[in-house]
Amino acid sequence: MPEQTPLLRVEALELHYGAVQALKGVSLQVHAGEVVTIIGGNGAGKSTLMKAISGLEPTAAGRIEFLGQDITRMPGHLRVPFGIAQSPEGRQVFADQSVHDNLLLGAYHRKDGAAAIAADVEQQFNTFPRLRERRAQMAGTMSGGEQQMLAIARALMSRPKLLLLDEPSLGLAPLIVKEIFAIVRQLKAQGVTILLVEQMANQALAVADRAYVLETGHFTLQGAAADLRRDPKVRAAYLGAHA
Amino acid sequence: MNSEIKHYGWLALVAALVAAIPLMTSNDFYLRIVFLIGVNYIAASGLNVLVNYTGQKSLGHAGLFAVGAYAVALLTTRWGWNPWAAFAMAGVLAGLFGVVIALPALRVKGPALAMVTIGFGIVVEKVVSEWQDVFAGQQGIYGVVPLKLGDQMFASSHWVWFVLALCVVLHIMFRHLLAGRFGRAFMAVNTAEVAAESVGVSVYKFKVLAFVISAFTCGIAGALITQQNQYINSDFITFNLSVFFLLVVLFGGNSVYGPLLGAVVLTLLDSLLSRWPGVQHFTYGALLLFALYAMPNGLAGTLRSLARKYAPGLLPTPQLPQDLPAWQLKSAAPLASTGAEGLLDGRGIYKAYGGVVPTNEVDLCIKPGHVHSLIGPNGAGKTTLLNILSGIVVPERGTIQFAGQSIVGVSPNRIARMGLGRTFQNLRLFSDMTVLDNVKVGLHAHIQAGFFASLIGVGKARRAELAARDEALQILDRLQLRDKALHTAGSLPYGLQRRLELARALATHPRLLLLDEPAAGLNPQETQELIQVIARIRDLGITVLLIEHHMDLVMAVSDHVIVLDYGQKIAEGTPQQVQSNPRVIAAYLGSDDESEDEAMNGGTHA
Amino acid sequence: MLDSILQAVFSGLALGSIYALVAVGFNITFNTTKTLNFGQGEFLVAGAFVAVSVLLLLAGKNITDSLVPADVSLWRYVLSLLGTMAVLALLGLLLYYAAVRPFVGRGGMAWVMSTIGFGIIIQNTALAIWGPAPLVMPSPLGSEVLRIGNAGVLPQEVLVLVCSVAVLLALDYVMRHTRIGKAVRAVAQSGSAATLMGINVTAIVVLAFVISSSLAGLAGLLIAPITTASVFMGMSLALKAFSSAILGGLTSPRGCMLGGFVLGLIEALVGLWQAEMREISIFLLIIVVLVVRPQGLLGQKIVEKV
Repeated sequence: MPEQTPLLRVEALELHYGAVQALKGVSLQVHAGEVVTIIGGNGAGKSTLMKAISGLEPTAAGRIEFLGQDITRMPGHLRVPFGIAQSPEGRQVFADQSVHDNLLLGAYHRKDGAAAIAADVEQQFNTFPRLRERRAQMAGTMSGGEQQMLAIARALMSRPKLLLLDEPSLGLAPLIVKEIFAIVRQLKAQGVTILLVEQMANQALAVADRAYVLETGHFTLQGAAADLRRDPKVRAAYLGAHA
Repeated sequence: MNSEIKHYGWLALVAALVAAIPLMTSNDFYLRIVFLIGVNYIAASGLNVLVNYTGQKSLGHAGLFAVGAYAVALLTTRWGWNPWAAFAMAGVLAGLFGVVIALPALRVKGPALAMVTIGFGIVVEKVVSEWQDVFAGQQGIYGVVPLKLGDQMFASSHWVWFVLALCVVLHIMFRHLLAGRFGRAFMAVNTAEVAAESVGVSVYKFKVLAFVISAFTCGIAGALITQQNQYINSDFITFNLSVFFLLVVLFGGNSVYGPLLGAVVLTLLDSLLSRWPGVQHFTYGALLLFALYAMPNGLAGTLRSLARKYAPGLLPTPQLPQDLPAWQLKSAAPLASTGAEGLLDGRGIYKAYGGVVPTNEVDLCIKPGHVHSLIGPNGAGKTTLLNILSGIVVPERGTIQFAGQSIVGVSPNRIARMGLGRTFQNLRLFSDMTVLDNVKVGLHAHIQAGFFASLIGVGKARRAELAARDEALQILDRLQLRDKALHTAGSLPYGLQRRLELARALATHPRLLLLDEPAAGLNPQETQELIQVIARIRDLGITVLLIEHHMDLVMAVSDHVIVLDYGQKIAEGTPQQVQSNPRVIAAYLGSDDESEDEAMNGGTHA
Repeated sequence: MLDSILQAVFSGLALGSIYALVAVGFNITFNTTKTLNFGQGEFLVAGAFVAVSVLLLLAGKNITDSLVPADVSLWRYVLSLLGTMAVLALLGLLLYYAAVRPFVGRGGMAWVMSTIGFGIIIQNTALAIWGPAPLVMPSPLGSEVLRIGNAGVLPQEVLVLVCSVAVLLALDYVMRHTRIGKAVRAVAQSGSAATLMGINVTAIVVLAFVISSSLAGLAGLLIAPITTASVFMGMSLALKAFSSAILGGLTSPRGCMLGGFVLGLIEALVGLWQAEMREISIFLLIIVVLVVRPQGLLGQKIVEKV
């Protein structure tokens, strides 16, 4: 396979929260068109890594490269027009604004005119018909699953080259989680490059091409998702070694 | 003992020098300045406790100054009271008004609290300037009877000596109070309210107490000024006065000596600039900003940092006893009921927030002497349950019996004193206090030293303090933190900070210890040490309930495991039983269709 | 009797609209940064004095002279408005960088005192430039009392009410229907989520402070002709504006506006009944609100996460 420049490259990334070292030298790559997943238990550092990539948290050491450029010091709000969008942990929809306004905010940085943005809004409503029904509803009054769909749609409104999904299954009922992962599959079929962080290892591994396992701030396993699905070490990472 | 003698020696020297001033000069101007320094010190000494130690920034203390001032004026002119009695009464009345200002102020946080105090000050200002019949507004009240010796009114020199005596007494009392359990409690309330409650400190009571103390001293200051001038009018009571008091305290800084530094510098500055009131106030504004930028701990704090850097010998280092016996948990009072029932028994606990139900009809039975673990995926409701048990969150339904008593709706500090201790997921140490002091705060409820005993500081209170110090050292020794006793808590590496929180929780002499993710952020070696520590805690006779994600830790240390998912208990049993339970596996890893069907069919295994 | 009530209602609404302007200023900065300018009263005063100075300069006089009605044409008044808002916007910028930004997120309410300190500096600078005498600003609409029924109303009061309502409506529209307004609300909801949208949070916050200060300046300029404006009137006005925000809900822009009008009305009506009780009754009301419903009429309860 010819070696292509990865869309995203993270090298030896370190990050501190006060006295704790949350990321202890993390390296990964995401190529265009891939779905890569990072799985791990709670407190492993998954969301911290996502925040670092989006520029919400300053890093102590290491590099983040996107489209071949070093963005380690780039302010968070400039990474969005550069091509990185995120559906953050806990969804963080703008609760006091309508679904439609949330989507418009996703397109905030775009300069290509109201018509193009409106067309994209329509496209998102096609992907997420439930949101079209609720376009004027206050985002904060929607169910968890609907908010998750909104968060993903909102991120897609910025026409990102890389979509970061931070624990989309968090706090959602099992049936809704299934729906969300179906949407992720759909996006994959459309060719969206996705970096997915998840606690629900089985479903994440089912939809991803490659996977990394994060434990207390560093990767302990990595490889093709299909291989990791059969690997008993993954279960051990969550539930501890069997007696 | 050595540093005590040193301190009193210096105190006597300074007092003697100041007392000598009226003997060396009869210039009224200079004597008045010394008098004013003393008065400002008195007002600031109490406000220091409120603002610096307890962290409540009040901008309305001119109102309390007014209470003392007008009390003494009205009592002596209208009702012919003896000036000494009036003086004492002024302090008492001001203290009562301290409660009045505290009650609404403590219902709110942040800017609203500042606003309430400003509002209080303005209301008092309006009342004394507009209610002419009683307070005579701008015209003022004349003929206030000053303090007398027999029939002779105080002369300038007498005022200086009297104020000096008051300053010395107040200094000694505050020094004792702030070095003991009350001082630590004030600081704990300031740094981490929730943590203070969890070790048995009633945040509310201490905040009110701080208000009352500050009101008392400001009231006395008002009385002194009024009796010395033999006059008071509404021009004295302004917002600028409140700002001035606050500035003295902030500028002086966070220490027993802060008010002294602040009073001296600012009184001198004030009289220097008194000819140009515009410049005067401008300077206060500028000084306020300067103090906030450059000296967040005030002059006292800056001097202390400088001393630490360049002349560490000047700072007193307490001598700590060596060779103390190993710590044994003192047996708690016998339980109200024993037998098959658990130490903690919860039935049908239910809590909802809007559409989310983090705790959905949970039953919980904690048997004494065992280590229990509470596990479940992220968002399962584990921390909410812990918060319910420790009283921070009140459940909507359900009963919880702890040691035979119901704890639903009981305040967290009372639950802590009943024998329930805890640590927090996001560390809540009193990070500006030393390691030793953090543990001493944990001992708060067990130190036998009341308020007035603490002011005097000798006898019973002193013995209790020393006993607390010894016990704290013993606890630190058990957790191998003894050599860090005098380090600042915030300067410790993360793993040791976690251990310190554990030490503090142990100091509350708990029957049941709740640990919220004690292994979070620890490396594998530290996690191993933690396993040992938890085993040792169980051996001391303490029952443990811990929340953890670190499965190896849970399996290694638990006698009993409870699994939560979506706010409900889905499994419990021994670690091995839980580990192989398909529902538990599904909850953590998420299901693919096969294992989901398995779980739905009751998890049948071959 | 009815006439005096009508008159009081009108004055109350006019004054209340001023409180509403300042209160909305508090709301904008508080929502986006969890801080507000405790020296806002001095900004109001500064607004009045700058306006007078501009008018004096336009009339060819010295800034320490006095204005006469002939100096104040409507056209000049508008110019002074622009000048005032420009100066105050700059002050707001300075305030943010000097007294707010260094202390945000540090905890401990240092920003309360730093903004008070900044306000004291402004006040005494004003004192040094203009002296302690009260300000005289004749209304551009003259001082002939208008008659509505039998109630007497000053034309300036009408101007105040009309201007304030116009500005408040404009703000409400901008916050709800324009791109920048939605961005401000997004920042208020969550700074990190807003960053993920590509919004420059710092720029928005600076804008918030600039708007808030300009509103205070506008309020000062509007109110100067109808009150005895002196360098010392600031704190009292700011406190009442803050009380309006507490009454209506500090976190709700419409609540702040509502609170302003309600407070103005209450103040005027109580003043009609017993003049001395006016200010005291307001503060007592606020204490009651804080105890009974701390989030105000339209505000939302903040649930703290443990």
